[in-house]
Amino acid sequence: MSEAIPPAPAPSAPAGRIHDISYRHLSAPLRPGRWRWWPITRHGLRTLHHRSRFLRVLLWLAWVPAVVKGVQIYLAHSADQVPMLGKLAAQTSLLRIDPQFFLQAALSQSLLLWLALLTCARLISDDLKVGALQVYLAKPLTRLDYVLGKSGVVVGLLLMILVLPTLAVYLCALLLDPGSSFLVQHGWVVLPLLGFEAFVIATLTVTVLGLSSLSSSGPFVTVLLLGAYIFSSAVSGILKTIYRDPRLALLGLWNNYEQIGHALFGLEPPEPVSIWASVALTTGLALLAALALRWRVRAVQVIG
Amino acid sequence: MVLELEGLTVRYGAKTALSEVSLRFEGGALGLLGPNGAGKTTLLRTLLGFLAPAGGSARVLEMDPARQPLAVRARVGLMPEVDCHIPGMNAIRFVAYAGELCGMSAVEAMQRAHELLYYVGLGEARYRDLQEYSTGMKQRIKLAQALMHDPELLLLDEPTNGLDPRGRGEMLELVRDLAHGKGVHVLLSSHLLPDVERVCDVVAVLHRGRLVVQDQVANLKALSGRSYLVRLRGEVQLFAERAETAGLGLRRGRDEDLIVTLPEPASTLELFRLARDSGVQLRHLAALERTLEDAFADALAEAEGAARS
Repeated sequence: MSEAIPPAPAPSAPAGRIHDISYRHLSAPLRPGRWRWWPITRHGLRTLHHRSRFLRVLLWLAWVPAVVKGVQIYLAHSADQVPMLGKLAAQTSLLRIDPQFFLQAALSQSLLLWLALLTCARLISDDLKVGALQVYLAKPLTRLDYVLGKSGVVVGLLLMILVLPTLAVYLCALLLDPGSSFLVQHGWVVLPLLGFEAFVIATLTVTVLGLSSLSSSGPFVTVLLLGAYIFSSAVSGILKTIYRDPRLALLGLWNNYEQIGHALFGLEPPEPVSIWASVALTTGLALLAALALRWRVRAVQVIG
Repeated sequence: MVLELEGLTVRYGAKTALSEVSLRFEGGALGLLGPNGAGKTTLLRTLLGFLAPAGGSARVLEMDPARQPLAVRARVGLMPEVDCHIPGMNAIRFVAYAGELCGMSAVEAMQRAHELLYYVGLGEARYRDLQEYSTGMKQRIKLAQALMHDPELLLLDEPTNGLDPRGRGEMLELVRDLAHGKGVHVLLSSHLLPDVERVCDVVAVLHRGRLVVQDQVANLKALSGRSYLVRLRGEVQLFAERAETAGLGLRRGRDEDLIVTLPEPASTLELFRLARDSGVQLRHLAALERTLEDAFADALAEAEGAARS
């Protein structure tokens, strides 16, 4: 006798709606640490890197001047052995490894540095545009944490564009020096080099974030940044030519950094103007930007 | 005590947004009702420490948000009214990022983000870019990010804005589940009475920055008298005058209908007697249940009346 076919099993009872089974209370309350800004920096750098092919290209291009400088250092050390190079070294300053050489290594990054800053133009303006500030500030974060996190993005970028390549040039000079003459004569340049770069990074970071917080329009902030670099330099150049007054050079933002850089390296500044004027202009601009940040970075904008 | 406000006053410059609001909320789901500009969002912002009170005090989970904003925000979640999505992110990254901002490790945050996106019904869409999300999906993701740090109190600012009826129902079901099934206290700010009625046990009504009523939904809906829909044919004005003289509550309904409230111990016989005396025909008589909308309208009317007097 054939075995009776068992009835088909009844469809199992629904296990419940998904939301009935997947909400879980945390086992312990969260305790945000002191580095509350770090996720903002990490996320910002990752997003910029993923989204901007332009930035990825810039990060590679930033090493081109360093490679050229490295070759110059190599050739300078080979000048004793190759007569033709010896002649060249005597006739030009191309193969002279001195403070000016390192200052130029830092200053030559200026275009790339500004282009990198353009990619940061939307750091705060995008958050203002989509109302994301409320998301940030409704979490256990202060406004300072938010600004520090965003600053970390700019600082991180400028470290990669400005500091790492120039430090590599310095290390190259140290490593390729057959004796220790470079260390004895010019080893100290690492201090003004880092000091200058720290000043550039600190003031430009605050300035860029301040400009970014001024508007919720990314393109507008980009135009402001371009104006701060290209337009101000062009205007200062034109006015200086017309009026032949060296003080007008200070209208160009980057000219001020060049003045400060020369002073820090103990070199004659390009313009016969007190470097304190340049310090006042750049830090003053950064302070204004800090005020803008303080005014604009709020969970609630109170107008009037 | 989840929430305790004592004479809370908040000002935007010269404008007073909240005026001497006193309120106690012991837990469950509290509905914050009020027309636009009543001060609901201002209250939520004050509870998170975004705005400092000009007077009075606020305590959230036994903490002062003006003095301990970070401690409060570590235990309170906010689902804002406005869109607040960080561009260029997919849902899972956005929600996990919200967790990292609360102090979770990246791994822990990612794990919880997956769970929460399933919970709010976005499990299958969690890798899609936020910019491709519909309004309903965006509302859900705002809820998910607010739940990342497992808040004890959840502040929801107009959570059903822009949702179609089905999406609205699902969102309210989620909120109800959180409040009644998951032990998360909910403060739901809305101008939609049915939403509040569906989710909340207690209602507070704000009007022009003042708290005009706070009570259990059941109490507010309870009839202080019995209301009836009355349709008459004839000299309605005369009937109305006599009804008012007799102490009956009277207001206009739709078309020519009247809504009459009988005080205790009067019965419907009183209506028939009045109709007879006024020479009108009573064509329709139906008992009415008082809705939260009625309670809300009454509260606002009382507040307006008090302001005028």
